[in-house]
Amino acid sequence: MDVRLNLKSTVSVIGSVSDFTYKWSLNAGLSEEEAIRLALALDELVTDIVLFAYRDEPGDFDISFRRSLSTVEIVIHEQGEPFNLDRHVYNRNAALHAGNFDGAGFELVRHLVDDFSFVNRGRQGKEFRVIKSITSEHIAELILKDDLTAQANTAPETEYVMTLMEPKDAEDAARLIYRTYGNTYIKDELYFPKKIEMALEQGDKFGVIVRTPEEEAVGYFAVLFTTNSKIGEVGEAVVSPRHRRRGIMTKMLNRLIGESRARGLRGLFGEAVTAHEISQRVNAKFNMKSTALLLGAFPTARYKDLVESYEQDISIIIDFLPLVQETEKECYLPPMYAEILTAIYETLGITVCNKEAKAETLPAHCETDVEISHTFRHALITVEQYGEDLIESAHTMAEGMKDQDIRVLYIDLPLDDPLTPRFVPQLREAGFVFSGLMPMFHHERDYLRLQMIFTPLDLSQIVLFTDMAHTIRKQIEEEIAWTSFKQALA
Amino acid sequence: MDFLQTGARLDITLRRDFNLLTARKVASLADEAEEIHIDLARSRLVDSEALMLLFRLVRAGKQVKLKSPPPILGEIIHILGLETVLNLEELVE
Repeated sequence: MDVRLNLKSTVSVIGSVSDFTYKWSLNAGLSEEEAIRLALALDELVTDIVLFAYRDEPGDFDISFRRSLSTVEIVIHEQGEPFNLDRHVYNRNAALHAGNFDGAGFELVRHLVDDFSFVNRGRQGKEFRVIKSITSEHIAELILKDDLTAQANTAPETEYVMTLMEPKDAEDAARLIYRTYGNTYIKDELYFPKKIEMALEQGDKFGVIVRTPEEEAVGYFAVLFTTNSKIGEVGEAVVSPRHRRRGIMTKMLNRLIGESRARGLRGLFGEAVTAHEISQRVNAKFNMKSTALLLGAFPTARYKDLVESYEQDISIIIDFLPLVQETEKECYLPPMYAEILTAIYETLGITVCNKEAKAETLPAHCETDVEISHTFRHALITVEQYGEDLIESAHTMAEGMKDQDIRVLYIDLPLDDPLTPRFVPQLREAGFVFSGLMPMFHHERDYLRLQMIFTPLDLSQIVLFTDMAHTIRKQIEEEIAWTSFKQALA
Repeated sequence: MDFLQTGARLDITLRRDFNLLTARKVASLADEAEEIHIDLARSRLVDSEALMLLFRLVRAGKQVKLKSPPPILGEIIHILGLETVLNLEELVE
């Protein structure tokens, strides 16, 4: 999360919010015109809260500003009066003939941003979410067609030079991705040199680039900071087909591991697609351990030269490599998952001391963080504090997600919280099933991830490589046999 | 906000965005005026609350003139389909 503001619900904050949004958006990479549109969208939403959420009562609300390489997302969370967005639909005729402008602000917001959603979180309040895409020049516009035809056969043996990526290398990295994968690489931002450049400048990632003596870029590998923890994602890797099988990938990863340690990272993880097993094999080769299977993590895609057609949403395996080796850890493992979580920890070289959960006082309200990816059609609830209303809140959110064409909902539960074993059976009853261990994924704490999917999925189509990945799938299959989740997978 | 009332004419210069706060101030001044000139050169945006005020003023028969409105004004009038009442060619001086 980039910035979080807590504001009093007063008329005077509206201008401050739109001013801040405008400047923050420019820094995030939006054009002047788009930054104004986003600022106006925020103006409209905050005005609605000021006028209607708390009426004449004192109240406050939170605004979270999040930025990725491709999008900016702003979430406004308030706990005012109950509200149903569907009942406030703008009607042009009512405005023109009766001066009734109900819903006009929301109508503007829908047009001013790329995605606008409303999430009812039950007793935890309500959220407005707006997303805008960051646009810049696509690498295909920069490459001449002749340039692409020069790719053929294996390159002659040569010496390679590896350096840390600098912003000036961004265009060459984008060219390499485009020449290697065509338009099929899942991370869209890699086709936009400006976005790579910005990510490097702003410290969102670091990487290495490998060149021939003629300066041709033939390898690129990066570590991305995609979580709110001191771990990195080995998320972008490419070697030119003409230069493969010469150890370039291994050399790049070894350099990145050293660099990650030097930067104080505690672990690295990879999200390996399960439409094929290549990425999983590579991760295993580098001693990464499979810890979770995320069903339907993003819409299906074509993988150039690997899989031409995959009929269902892509599931992914989380592979993890600890950079700081812990040997023991104290956790509160839910009994039904104690065996498999202990086994996953063992593959990471960690012996678990499973503490006994005693009766804990439970606050009335839970505290959660919600992330929604409309691009990948999944959402994640992270439990920050348990409360009596967690199940009700998760259920309300799940219903809202379905309406927004979200296909899978994940929930992360802290394993160092004695209340986790108490809530897992209730979440299973509500339709969640096992996903796996997310080591150090939030603020360096370990989390148990559960998942609920809303779209049909054939688990036998998921291609897995490691033994642990197979064990995790078996666990999921067994749970599906008795949960309502079975219907979605039929 | 700066303003000058000369008989039935009201000249207003906004120092910031034309939003709920400034719209309320403009509304409080506009009752007595027949002719309202609003300088928007320093406004980055005009929101729906301001647009509703302009709509009501025009409907009330007041002569409203805008100076240097931000480009987004035309876009939001179009989105809300209010061109027949808020015609920019007539509104902008």
